[in-house]
Amino acid sequence: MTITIERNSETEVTINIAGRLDTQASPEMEDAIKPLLNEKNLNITVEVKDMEYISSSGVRCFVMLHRATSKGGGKLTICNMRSDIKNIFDMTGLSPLFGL
Amino acid sequence: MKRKALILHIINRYSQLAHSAPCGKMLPSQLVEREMKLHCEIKELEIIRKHLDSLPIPMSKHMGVCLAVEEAFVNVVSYSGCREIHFDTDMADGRLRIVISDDGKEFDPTKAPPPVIDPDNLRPGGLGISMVRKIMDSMEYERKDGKNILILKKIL
Repeated sequence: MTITIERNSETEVTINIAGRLDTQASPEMEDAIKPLLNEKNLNITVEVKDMEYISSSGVRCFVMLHRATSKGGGKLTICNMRSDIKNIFDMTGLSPLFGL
Repeated sequence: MKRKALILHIINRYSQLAHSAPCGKMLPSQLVEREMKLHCEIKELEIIRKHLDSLPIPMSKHMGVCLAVEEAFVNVVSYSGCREIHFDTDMADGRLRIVISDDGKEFDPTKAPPPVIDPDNLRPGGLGISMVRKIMDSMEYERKDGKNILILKKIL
């Protein structure tokens, strides 16, 4: 997995995730997003068009992001998810939470 | 001309086969049996993934099977406290059977309650097991000779 975080402005962040967000890769994502979790009014856009796989630990990272943005008065948007990855989100019952 | 037509025919046939072919080189009807002894460590998932990639699992079901197996294995590593995990696969007539057994503390994932769909209160182990249940056709558990034995089955 590769994860890049770009800050577009004080309240706008884009996270790019490519490759496999599996059990082994999820701790890396957790570490990368940790600094964002306590910010207020942060709008996070996650670009996932190149994400090839996700496990429950990866889904949990998205839950962490959602929890942080909603508590801080911001918003989480997930963009360009592949249909096979969306099927996995659907399986968890969490798709509506992420507006998928 | 005849030769050109033959070459075109071969190319067409090959591309048809390539599109319908499963991930591995074998056919789903072929018998595959494999027994592996793995350490109780997450990094063993790499060995499992390579093994699953070598099986003739149709593309459309490959990601689901990999995910279910990953979640079941991670669950054992996280909660059993075992020393060694036996990972056995057999596949015949398009039926996949995976047996994961360990000598750790007793845990029956088939009795695990469904995860709470509340983002503020997501139980750590609930999601993975519910994914296994949804992807596989059956998930059975038995406790035998001090071992947890989890049997996952799927028709491919």
